[in-house]
Amino acid sequence: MKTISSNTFKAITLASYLGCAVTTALLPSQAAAQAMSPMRGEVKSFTDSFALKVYPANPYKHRIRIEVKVYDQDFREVTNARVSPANFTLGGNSDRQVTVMVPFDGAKSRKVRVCTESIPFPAGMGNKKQNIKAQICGKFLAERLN
Amino acid sequence: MKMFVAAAAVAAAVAVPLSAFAAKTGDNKGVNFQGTVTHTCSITVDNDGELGVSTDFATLASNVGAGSAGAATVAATGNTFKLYVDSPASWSGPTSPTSVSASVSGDISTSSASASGAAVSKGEHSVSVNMSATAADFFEEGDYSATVTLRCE
Repeated sequence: MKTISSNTFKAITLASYLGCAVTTALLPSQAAAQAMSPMRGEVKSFTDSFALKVYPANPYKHRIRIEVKVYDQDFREVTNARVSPANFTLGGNSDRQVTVMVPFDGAKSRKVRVCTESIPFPAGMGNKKQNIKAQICGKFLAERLN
Repeated sequence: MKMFVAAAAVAAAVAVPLSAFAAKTGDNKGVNFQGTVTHTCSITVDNDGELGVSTDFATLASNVGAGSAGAATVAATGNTFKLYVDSPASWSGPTSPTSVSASVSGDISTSSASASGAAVSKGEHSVSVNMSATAADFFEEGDYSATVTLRCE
């Protein structure tokens, strides 16, 4: 069986990170396999950017490759968002923290999707292949307080 | 001596402050509990699909010829999620198609033409994933591959 990640967000904590002063608490939850938590949340910040912490998880027994991307509400990639790390491999039955910094770009509030994406294995040679990519997206609303 | 001890015991019992019984006279203390429930969604791809070619070589699809659908399992812990399927954004092969579409069927049904997706109810759902590509004329000989995206949000 070939598997592609199911990714996990867990917990936005509010982070003061690289100049991001405040974010409201979104409660951390237990790292559960085949889960993504939370997939909804609200964040408040005093600065011109906000921070999220998400936890992609690998529910499988083998190592997989995961990529975390940020999209706006129209599903355009937010290219100036900073994701650390954005691309990594994850051992079986484990998760890891990923920090996401998103600028408001002058707006008072911003809705974003933070998506953890599986990276499909390359198609085999000589095949007509239909690969499937799994994408788990959390929706977050950020509000600037100043 | 025994009389003295008994008297002391009686005196001590009488001397117990009335406040010791105050809790029985209506002084309630609440014990608070807090908790948060967060629901999650996951996608497990059980197997990728194969593209078959139509007899006129104008269509490559998982549901024609020797093609086969991909399979995935979508699981949700609540009823607030939606499943979307996106047709391939890129294409690998000698001939580029003029149109591409993708769809999901089984416990949940939706297609790449649907902007609203399909509701995912609580529980596990098995789905088949299909895609189809059409060439303007016909597909040249060679290897082809494309990636369909299943998204839960």
